[in-house]
Amino acid sequence: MTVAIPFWDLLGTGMGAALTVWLFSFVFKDNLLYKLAEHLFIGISAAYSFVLALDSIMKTGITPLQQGDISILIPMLIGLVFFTKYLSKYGWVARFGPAFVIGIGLGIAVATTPESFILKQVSSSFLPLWIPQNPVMTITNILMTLIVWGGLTYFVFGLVPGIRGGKQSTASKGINRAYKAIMLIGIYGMMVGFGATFAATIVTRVAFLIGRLIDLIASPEASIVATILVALAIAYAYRTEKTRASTTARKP
Amino acid sequence: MIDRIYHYLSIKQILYALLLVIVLTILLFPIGLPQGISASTRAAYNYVGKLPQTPKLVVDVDYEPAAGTELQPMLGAVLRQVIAKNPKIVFVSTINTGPAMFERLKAYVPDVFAKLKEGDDYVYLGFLTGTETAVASLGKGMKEFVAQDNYGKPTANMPIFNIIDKATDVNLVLVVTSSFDAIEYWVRQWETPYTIPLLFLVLSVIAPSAQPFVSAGQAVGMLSGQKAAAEYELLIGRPGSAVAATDAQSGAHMLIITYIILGNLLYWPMRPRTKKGQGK
Repeated sequence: MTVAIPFWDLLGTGMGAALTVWLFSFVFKDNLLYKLAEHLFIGISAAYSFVLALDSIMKTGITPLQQGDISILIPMLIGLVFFTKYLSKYGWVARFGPAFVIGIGLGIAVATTPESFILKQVSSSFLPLWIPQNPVMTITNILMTLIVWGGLTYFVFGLVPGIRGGKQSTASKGINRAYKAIMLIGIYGMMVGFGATFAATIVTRVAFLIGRLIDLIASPEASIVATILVALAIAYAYRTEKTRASTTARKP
Repeated sequence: MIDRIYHYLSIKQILYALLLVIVLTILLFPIGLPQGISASTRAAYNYVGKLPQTPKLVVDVDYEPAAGTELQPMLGAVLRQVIAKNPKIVFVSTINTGPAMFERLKAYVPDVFAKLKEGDDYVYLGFLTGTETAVASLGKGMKEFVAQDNYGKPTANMPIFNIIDKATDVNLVLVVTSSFDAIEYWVRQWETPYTIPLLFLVLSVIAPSAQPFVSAGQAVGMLSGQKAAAEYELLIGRPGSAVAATDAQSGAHMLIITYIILGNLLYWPMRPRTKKGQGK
């Protein structure tokens, strides 16, 4: 049994594959089809966001108002205030809109931030340093504790005199050595952390690439045609560049 | 011949071309590398498996098309596991690409949505503007906060909201996201005030930032990247697109490791040398 795929779905998949090939072509050479794909992406993204914003205004503003909910007029008025910046005389009123939005946002976030981001995180860093019959966990916890101390120590400035250059007193030399040692653990811990983040970034980028290639495989005809077209566009770009270079060279 | 290639292609372009060729070849001809199941994926699977019958879930579809490769198979696998329990699910999005991603999700797991009746068993509230403020408002009453679903249907008469409306009604929130911001919103507005269990389904790049919340017990677990998606597919016994893509991912990683080793070996003789006592 053959399943008929709707024309628009077929066109969408084909266009998606072609645009993918054209965007990837930038790695090899900037060309007309890359620019077309880039402009289409920006234009479509802006249009999509605009339509969604309108839809949101309809759903959360206009419809409730039509149903008789006049309380919605207050947030609508605050929203409209943003546009007064286009009026030279009343431009200052536009400040009230962002002030209200930022104020509400901050108020909502600040209420739970100390517990979510400080208290719970700090309390979870107090780990048992000896777990009988689990040497792996014991070593992990000791390492974690040392790295937390080291990381925090690195960001404590000016506690021990002379630690970051300058004159060192004889009395503080011993403390400085210990301080430097723990700071070094922190630096290495952070380097491992940054390395892990960078590796995770590569993993994600490769996954993105795989996703696009899976889509290309799904519509091989469109991919092949798009590749041929982009090869021609790259050849044209090289030729134009060469012509320009020779014209410039001929000029006195 | 090699000179001609170098004339048109730089070393960067050759490396990219090689990466493309390797990934494409493995996608077309999978190797079938053995897959292990990590402890974090198994823990998440076990947690979802232990949810009560008719669990009440909130799913934040908060990603864009590019991230769909990692996140869609992951979410699809979790939904396929939970569907046997006859769940009630409220889908929302705090990113404007959410509605398009939700439609893709429906097409990706048609078997799941065939078992769910819209309005009774699931509802998609669409893209909610206001980010954190919207997440906070959802917790206080979804029906009141969102008058219409994504398709313009009024939420007031939907039976699902008789069962699940406020944050305190919810058994689990799946935060499926490609940004760290969403994790912060849900932790601040749902986990801290209501102690609602959160399960993060995130991109690999988000995992290092999200891990402290899991370690602190602010989330019940985390699935990150294509590897976790593949593991989850294997756990539910339905290998899908993530399992198929894992070979290609491993191949690409091996190639990048080779690049790093070769780059360092080639750089070694060229490294700047300093004489003793001159400093760097």
